[in-house]
Amino acid sequence: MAVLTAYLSFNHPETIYGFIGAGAYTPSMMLLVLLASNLIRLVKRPGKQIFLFAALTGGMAIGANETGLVVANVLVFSVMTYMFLKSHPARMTLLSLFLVLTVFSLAAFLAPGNGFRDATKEFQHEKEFFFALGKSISRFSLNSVYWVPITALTSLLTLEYARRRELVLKPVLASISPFLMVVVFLGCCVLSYFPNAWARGVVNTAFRTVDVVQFIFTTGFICCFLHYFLGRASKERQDDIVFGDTFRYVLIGVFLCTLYASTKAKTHVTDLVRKAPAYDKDMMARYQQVAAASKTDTIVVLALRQIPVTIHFDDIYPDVGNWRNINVPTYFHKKAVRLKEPNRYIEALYGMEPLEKQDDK
Amino acid sequence: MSTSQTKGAFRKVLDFAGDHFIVLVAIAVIAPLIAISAYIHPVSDDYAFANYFRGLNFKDFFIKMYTELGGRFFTFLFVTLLPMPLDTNMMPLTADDLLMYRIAPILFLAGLALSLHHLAGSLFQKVSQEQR
Repeated sequence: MAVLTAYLSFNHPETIYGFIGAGAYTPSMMLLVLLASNLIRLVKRPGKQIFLFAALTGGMAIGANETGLVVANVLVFSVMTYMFLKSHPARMTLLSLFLVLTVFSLAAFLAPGNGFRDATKEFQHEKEFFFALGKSISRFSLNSVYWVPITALTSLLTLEYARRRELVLKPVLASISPFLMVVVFLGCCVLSYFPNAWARGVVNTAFRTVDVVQFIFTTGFICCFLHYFLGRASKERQDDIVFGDTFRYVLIGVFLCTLYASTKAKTHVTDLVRKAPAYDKDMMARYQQVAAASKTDTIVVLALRQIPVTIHFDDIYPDVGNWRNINVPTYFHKKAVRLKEPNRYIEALYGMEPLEKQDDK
Repeated sequence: MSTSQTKGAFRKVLDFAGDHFIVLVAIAVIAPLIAISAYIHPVSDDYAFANYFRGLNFKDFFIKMYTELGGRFFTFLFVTLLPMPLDTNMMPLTADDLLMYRIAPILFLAGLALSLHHLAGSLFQKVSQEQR
C-alpha cells in the first residue's frame, strides 16, 4: 500500500525511469526499507545472519546516496540508544552494527569526489548548520501538508484491511512507545533534506531527493499509524477497532474520488495511451538522424511533438555549448548536436538554466 | 445459468473486489507506470555514464567515479554490475537495443514492492489462538 501512496504522489519521473538517477535513488528507498525490516528482526532474534543482512543493507543504503546515509544512521542510532536504555539483550549487536555503518559512512563522507564535484561553484549559505536545519524543517513542513491527506486516507484503508485479515503487531514492536516511533519518523524525514541544504545552501532540493523523502514519509506514516492502532496486543483493545461496512464503503468511495481527481493518475494513463508512442517514434527518428550524420557536422534535431511528462525529464538543448549537450554526440562519436527550438516543457520545469538549479544531492 | 446463479457469481466478484480493494487499486495505479517503461529513452546522465565507462575496466571505472563524482560507492557498483543499458558499442536504434534499459524500471519497482513485503512480514503477524 505504501507503493501506491508513494507513486501517486511522485512528482518527477527521473526517480524511476532515468537509469542512472533511478539506480541511485530507487535502491536507496528499497535498502532503507530492508534495513528497517532487518533491524526489527535483529532486535527480535540477534544472530550472525541477520546482523550480516542488516550491515549489508545499511552499508549499501549509505553508499546509494546522501539521504540513505543520513536516514540509515538515524534509524540504527535511535534503535541502538533505545535498546541500551531498555538494557535489551540485542544492544551490543546493535552497537556493532552502528560501528560497521560508521565505517561505511566515513567511506562515503570522505570520498575525494565529494569536494571535486562542486569545487568551482559557490552557494549562498552553504555549509551553515543552522541554516541547513531550518531549511530542512521548513521544506519538510511545506511538503508534508501536501502529502498528509492521501497518506492518512491510505493508512485508514490499510488499517481496515489489516483488521479484516486479523493482523496484529509483532510483540517485539508492541512495547515501543508510539510517541518515540513518531519522533524517529519525523527526524528521518526532516534530516533527509539536510545533506542538500548543507551542501547547496539556498539551492532548491532536487526533485528526486524530494521523492525519496516522500517515500520515507508515506512508509513511515503508515507504519506509525498501524503501530499505534494495531500495537495494543490485548484482545479488548483489538475489538475496539471495528470498521462497519458503511464506513468501509464510504472510505473506498472517498479514496476512488481522490484518485479520479488526481491529475497524476490521469496523466500516467494519457501518456501511456497517447503521448508515449509518438515520443518513442520521434526519439527513434532522432537516433537514425544522429547515426546517419557526418562526424564533422553539428546535428540539428527537431523538437518532440509530444511530451509524456511521466517519463520525459531531460532533452537536448538549443545551445550547442550547453554542457548537457556534450554527452549525446560523444556517445554517438559525433561533433555536436543541438535542438532546433527550445523544449518549453523542460524550460518551465527547470527554469532558464536547466538542471543547474535542480542538480544532484 | 439461472438468474439466482448469475446473482451469486456477481455477488462473489463484488465480495472479492471489496475484500482485496486496496490490492486491486495498487495494481491499477502501478500498471501504467510499468507499461510505459516500454517507451522510455536514455537521458543525459545515462549517456554521461556510458561515456565515462567507455574504455575503462570495472576497477578503473569505480576509482574514477569515487574520486571524481563522490561517495556513492554502492550506486557506482550497482550501475556497473548490471549489464550497462547503454552498452559502449551499442547504438539505440531499435526497441531491441533498448530492452535492458526498459526492463530496469520494472526491476526497480519489483524490488521496492518486495522490500515492502519483507517489512510487512517483520511488522505484522496473524492474531494468535490465545488472542482470539
